[in-house]
Amino acid sequence: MAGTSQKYRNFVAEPMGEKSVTELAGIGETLGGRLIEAGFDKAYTVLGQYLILKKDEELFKDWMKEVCNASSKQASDCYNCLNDWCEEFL
Amino acid sequence: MSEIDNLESLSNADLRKQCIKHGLPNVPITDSSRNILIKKLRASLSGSPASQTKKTPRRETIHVAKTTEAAIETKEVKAEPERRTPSRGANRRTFAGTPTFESQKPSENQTSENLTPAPIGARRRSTRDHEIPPSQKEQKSTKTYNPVVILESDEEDQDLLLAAEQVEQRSKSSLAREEANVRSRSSRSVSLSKTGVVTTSFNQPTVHPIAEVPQIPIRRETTESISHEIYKPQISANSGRFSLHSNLMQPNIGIGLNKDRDVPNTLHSRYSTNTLSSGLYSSKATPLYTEQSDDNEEAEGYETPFLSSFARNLERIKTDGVVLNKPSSIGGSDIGREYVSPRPVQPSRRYEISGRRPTKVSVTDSFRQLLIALDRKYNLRLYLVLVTVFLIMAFIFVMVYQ
Repeated sequence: MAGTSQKYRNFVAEPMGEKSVTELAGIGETLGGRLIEAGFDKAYTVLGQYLILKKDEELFKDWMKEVCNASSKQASDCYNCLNDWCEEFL
Repeated sequence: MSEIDNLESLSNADLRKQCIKHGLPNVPITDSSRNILIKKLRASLSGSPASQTKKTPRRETIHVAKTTEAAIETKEVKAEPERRTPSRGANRRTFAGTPTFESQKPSENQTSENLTPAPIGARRRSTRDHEIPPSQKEQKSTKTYNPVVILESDEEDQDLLLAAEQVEQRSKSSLAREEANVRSRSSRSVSLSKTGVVTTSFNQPTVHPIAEVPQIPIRRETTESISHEIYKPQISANSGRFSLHSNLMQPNIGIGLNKDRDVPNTLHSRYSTNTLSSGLYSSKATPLYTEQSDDNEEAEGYETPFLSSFARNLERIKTDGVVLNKPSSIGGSDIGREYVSPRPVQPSRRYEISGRRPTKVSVTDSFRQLLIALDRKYNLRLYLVLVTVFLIMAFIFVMVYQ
């Protein structure tokens, strides 16, 4: 693991509650905006998508790329973030 | 083509059937997931089902990347010991603490058998995978710790791990002998044991999480003992180095610490010790342990590599006025005491530093002097008294005639 961002650690550290999508690692203003446009305004909606895709890494990353034009890195950051959050709290 | 068009118009249920038929994961089709599933389906229809759902854990891939790195490191490490054969003794001593690894070793070996290529990296990964699963939470915690370290000293870490394991193997049988060596290696032994105690107590509280760096099978319960034991070698190594240096240069502590601190410096320090000809291996090996103290000891980062150890010392002394060089006669070279003892030892420095402070404090003095001068010249005090008297009178007047 090549190190994790502060954002990642913040997110994984606690239940996500009502956090906005932009609190997810790998999702900044831009992607957040796109996601909100697509209806994913809260982090838990993205989590829901992640769960609907059955935590499948590839599917989720593809979904990220499609729904908000995420880069591979952003997608995998987000995936890791959600995945680890789930390991911790789900 | 018609099939593809069909896909778009299929209902969710039909689409899902198609997905299952074509070996895609059984995922509920929703409006949000529909698009990518159609894409997947198309991809698998067009012929490459290999790309579907490879379930490789993310960590594994990352570690694979690391193994290549490790492979490079291996060459490096293997090359170095050959050059350094004369300083075997130093090697040995530095790794006197290897028993800590030893105890974990069986499991390492056992697990590494599963993964044939890339010895070290694979082993590291495998140890993780095998050791940690008992509880996911532990895995989590280690994961969050690791990054801190890896960011700073990834390279070094690997490098040293390799070195550690090499020496580990070499010295597997002769551990007791090595311990004896350490003890009997000159009059330092007393101070060594002392240092062991002092330094562990000094470092331990902060080091805990980072002590997991070496990627020894990481478990919360074990880390405690590990960090304990790990530090002994560190000290012995340091002291060895110290004694080597102390003949040549007095301000040695600076070197010892700096060396362990900045990752880029390790190269330089390595060379500088090369010139000393005997501290060779220790300079290389010690960071494995001492790097763990990077974070807690290093408040200010020494990012810039210094050209020489002298320059580094200079910088060290400049930046850290309190930690002063200590005559080598005092108990050798314990890091733990290094922070404590210098104060009584060299009070002159302290005065020198504190001597600067009064110049700042004297601002108030000068202000006071200014006031006094004004008072003398304009009789400020008189006016002040007059004003206060007037105020009191007014106050009384108001109170009485209200």
